[in-house]
Amino acid sequence: MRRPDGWPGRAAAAWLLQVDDRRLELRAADGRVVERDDVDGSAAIGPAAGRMLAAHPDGEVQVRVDAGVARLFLVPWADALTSGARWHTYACSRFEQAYGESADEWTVRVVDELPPRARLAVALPTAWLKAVTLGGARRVVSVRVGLLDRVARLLASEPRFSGCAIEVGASVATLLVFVQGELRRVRARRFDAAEELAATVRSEWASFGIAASAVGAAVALPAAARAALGDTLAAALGATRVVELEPLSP
Amino acid sequence: MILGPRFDVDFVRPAPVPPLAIAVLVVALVAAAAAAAWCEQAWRSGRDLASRRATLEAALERGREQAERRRTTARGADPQAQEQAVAVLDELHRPWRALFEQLEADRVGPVHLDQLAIDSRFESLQMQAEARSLGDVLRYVQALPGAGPIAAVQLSSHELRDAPGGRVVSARVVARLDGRASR
Repeated sequence: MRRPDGWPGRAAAAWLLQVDDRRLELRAADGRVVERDDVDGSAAIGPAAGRMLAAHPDGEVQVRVDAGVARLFLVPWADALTSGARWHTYACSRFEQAYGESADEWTVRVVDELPPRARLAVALPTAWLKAVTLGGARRVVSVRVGLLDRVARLLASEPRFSGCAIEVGASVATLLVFVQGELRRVRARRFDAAEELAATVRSEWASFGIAASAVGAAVALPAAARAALGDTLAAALGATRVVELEPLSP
Repeated sequence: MILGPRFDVDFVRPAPVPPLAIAVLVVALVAAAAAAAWCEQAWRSGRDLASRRATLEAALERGREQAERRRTTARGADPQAQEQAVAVLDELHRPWRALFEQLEADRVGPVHLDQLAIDSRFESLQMQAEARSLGDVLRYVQALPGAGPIAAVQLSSHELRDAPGGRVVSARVVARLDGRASR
């Protein structure tokens, strides 16, 4: 089992389980897809993950969740919140306001951010999370949102990135709008065509009063739709720079 | 505020710990540190006591060894020197005064001692004596034993000898001594 640079003492995961709201893919360390399973609804993801990992019992597992499975929302900065626990309570309250349901059945995490920037909150269904981690029989070493990992890599190379990071899932596209490296807006949109998605992106840029030519787009696409949808989206965004986000790997 | 990479969210990592839990953890750590300090002090105290006990036991052992050496030295003295010392002590305790009082007592009659010889262990006596008659010698021999170191007397031999003023009887007497009689 290989060890990645900068992680002394911790073995690299042998498997990457990529999950969206309709499909699970188990990838080996070399990136090839070992197993794929289509599921009907998020309730079926946990059992399917358990079956898939039971068939490959050796090695640790990293789970990467598509943004369409999670709920992402911004929590405005508040100086009065001086502890992580208070921020968590505040984020749960914002969740209830935004989605109209209690956060009791969701696991909410708040991303660290420099003040006075708004902080990103990420929520996953607790039952789903337990099903995936318990289905992995304690071999699951991390459950992360793939889009955020990709954006983190992008910002590490371009700290003042202005543009839109887009993850095109099976049914939902998630948009993270950055201005000078600051996350300013989070959107999840269902779409039927690439032109519709491009129009949404242009609308978001316009709301900040930024010319389309001054920004870039970072796009993460499902592998099957990459060629066709990527080219269409790039053409629809006009003269903007399109950066393809790095693919995930264990 | 940012402690690591941006957008670093992992749902397997535990959620933020409430301040109360941190306070409890701090109290537990302080208590553990105090307990550790107490245990260390107790351990050091125990170690000091053990050290003192070891020192005392070593001193006691040294004392025993010295006493043993003294006993061994006493037992190992020169036997000849010891014998000489005993002989000197015995010499000092021999009843010479009682012996001469017994030899010169009034009841023993007119007998004159010419020579007197006593062995080194004060067990036998030989003497040469003279008297006017053999009867005086015999009375002397019979009267000599009694209260004193002379236990038994035997007339060994006698002869007549001419002397100025008449003939005298010269007798040789052997006596057995009991040195313990007058100690």
